[in-house]
Amino acid sequence: MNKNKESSEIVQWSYDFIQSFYLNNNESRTEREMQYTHYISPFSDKYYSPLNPFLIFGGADPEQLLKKDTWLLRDGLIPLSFFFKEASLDLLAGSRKFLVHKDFWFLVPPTWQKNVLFYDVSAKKNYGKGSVPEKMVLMGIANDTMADPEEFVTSIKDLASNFTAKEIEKIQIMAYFPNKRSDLWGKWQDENIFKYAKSIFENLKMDIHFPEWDVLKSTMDYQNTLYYEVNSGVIVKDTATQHMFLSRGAGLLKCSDANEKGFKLIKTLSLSLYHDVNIFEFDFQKLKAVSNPLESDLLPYYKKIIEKGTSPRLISEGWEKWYGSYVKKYYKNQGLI
Amino acid sequence: MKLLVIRSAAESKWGSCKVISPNLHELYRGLSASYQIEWVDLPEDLMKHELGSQQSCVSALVKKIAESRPDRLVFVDHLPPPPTVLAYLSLQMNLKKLPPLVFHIYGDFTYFSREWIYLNDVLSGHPMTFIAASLSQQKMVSGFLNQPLGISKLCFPVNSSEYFFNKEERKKYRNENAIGENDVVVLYSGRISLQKNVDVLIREFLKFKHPVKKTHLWIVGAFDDIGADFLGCESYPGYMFSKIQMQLEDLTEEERQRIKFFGIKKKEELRKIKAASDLFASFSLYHDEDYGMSPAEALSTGLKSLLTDWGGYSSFANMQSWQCDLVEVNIDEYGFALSMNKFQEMLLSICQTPDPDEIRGERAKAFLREFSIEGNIKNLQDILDKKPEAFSGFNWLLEQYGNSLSQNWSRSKLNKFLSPKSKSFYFDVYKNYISKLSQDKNNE
Repeated sequence: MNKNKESSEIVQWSYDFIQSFYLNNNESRTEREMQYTHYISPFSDKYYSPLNPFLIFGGADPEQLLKKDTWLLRDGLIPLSFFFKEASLDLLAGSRKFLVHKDFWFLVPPTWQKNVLFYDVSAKKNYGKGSVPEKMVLMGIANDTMADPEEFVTSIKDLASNFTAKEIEKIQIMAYFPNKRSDLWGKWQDENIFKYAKSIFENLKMDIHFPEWDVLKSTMDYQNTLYYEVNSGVIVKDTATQHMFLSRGAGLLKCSDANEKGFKLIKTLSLSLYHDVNIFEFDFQKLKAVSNPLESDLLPYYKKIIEKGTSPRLISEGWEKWYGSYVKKYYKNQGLI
Repeated sequence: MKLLVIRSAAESKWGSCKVISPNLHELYRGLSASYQIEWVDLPEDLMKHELGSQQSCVSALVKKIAESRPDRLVFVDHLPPPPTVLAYLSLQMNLKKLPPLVFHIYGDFTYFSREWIYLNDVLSGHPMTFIAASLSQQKMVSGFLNQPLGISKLCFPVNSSEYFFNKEERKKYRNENAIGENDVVVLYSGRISLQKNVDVLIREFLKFKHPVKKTHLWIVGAFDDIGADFLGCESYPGYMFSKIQMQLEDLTEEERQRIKFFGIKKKEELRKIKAASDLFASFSLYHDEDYGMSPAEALSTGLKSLLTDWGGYSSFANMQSWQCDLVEVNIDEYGFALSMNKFQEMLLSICQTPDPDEIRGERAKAFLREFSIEGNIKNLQDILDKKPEAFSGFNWLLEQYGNSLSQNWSRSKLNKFLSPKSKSFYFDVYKNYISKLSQDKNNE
């Protein structure tokens, strides 16, 4: 063995263990909280980035949030609403930065604004009119409590409108809509997977493969593939599935730059050879929320449901009442959905 | 001789096995006419199939064995795991009535430690042959047996119609990628994974300075997040990319420009990339590095190579017929120590004396004579013709390995038992992966 220290490399992987250790630490989470991440898997699965991606609804332990100066909150509308309503600004804020998906800029209360930046995820390759992929992976959340059937159909129609029928015929489409959550959310009849599937067949084509998750997960090369996720972001917005497909070469659907008013790009960070996360500042003076979803007095009720659990049927009915009557209208008025 | 060869019905999801399996199948098809081969395709996930299908493929296999009366039952692929197939067979027949068994051993052998241990009870004394792809793997598996008998060595062969040296391809690919005639390209191809130590390669590459020659580092392959799960260090998706990205952030623009990531490339382009390069380097310490298909393919294009003296990589060392040297590896009290002098020396020598195309072509041919499909048909025949040894059973070391691996379900703790350091269980098992250490042992 050459004893010259200059030419020697010591390899120790314990450093790598420490780097992502915070992602391992589930000890403070309750069984109920952990169930939530499980029930919405694989969308809620963990991934690593230097921005410390984190799901509050998977166990918002304030002490854990003190461990890092930056957190990228992967959560969707409801958990973010709870977070900004109930998290202790005095305890958590300071110089700490929380990155929130830019679709949810209006959820950030004035007291939190100086501690919040916004993000979105972009692919280096995008598909749409004039740029047709060879393959397409279609994924999404399809049950009546976590997704709106009307929105689902609209989303599929939007996707189809980017391609001609002839083009769609040539694309190899693989779809995966995990639908095993009925034990938590309601009976299987409530989930009604058939109506979701019907809209896919009607608007795209009949020849669609439904591979198992293990097959999709173990494929390493998704170049020339469009990844399309039907997810309005009620529970989780920044999904591990999107990162997985994009990091293996998949692209996204081209989208217009509407609703960009008020955002200023301050940094782009590569998360793989094929996709980035963009970080924005938002000028709250330019665009102000017309109403405050956090004022909903139903929020504590929903928090109770999520934390304690109750009869599944109640969740569905209540959810529709709240989501349908309040936040959804707000979204529509804003032109965000 | 009648062979009943069990193979996987689907293409492996494991990158190297996508190449290894078809090449091994081709090798069997190349056997002389005195070998009659019948193939049986089994689903990768045998358990799921048996539970979910009305037609049992295990029953069909039992029937096939009874009808064909083969002289050897060969397990050629890594999936479905051979011990799992045998466990299912044991529910329907007495395994002692099987013909002699032949297993091609892959890197995932240790993952199935507990399943292999099960065979101790049901197959003790049965004639069996294990075929390891390298000397190191042969030694490691020998270390798991009560008596180190019945283990042969046969490489995972390279398909010489897919990998060879073509000087026109070299010239064209270099031109297309703006590589100057005097520039030197260092290549790594394979998974970009924690234990592959691509970060070490980048560091070493940047240390090299030459007054005249411009050097480039090409990295081909997908980032993965396998981590080092045997020691409980399971990294999350995105971790490896971020780790390398952080390393690149500290570099100057000029340094960054010289390092290129290609992502996944198809075989044909990979051959051109290998032809266009001047040195293949891999400092992998992957715990299942039983062979090294990527270096084998690089050497098939006559590419000079520098590899760690680790696992199957050591089998390629040869500085006469072709050019493959080894970086010394040691396991000390702090972990692995790699002696990196050779990298700097080899790169300097390439800068000073570039290879003429003719010599490179000769090297490629010499390597393929030993490592191609056609070059190994006779070796396989010799193994099959040899009288199989009675299985002596696996020893405590494999049982211990299996038990230790099964404790890794919790991600929040490192497994000290399987941590790379001297005087540890890890050392007892993996010293066989370092040719210098295992030679010393043999000399004692």
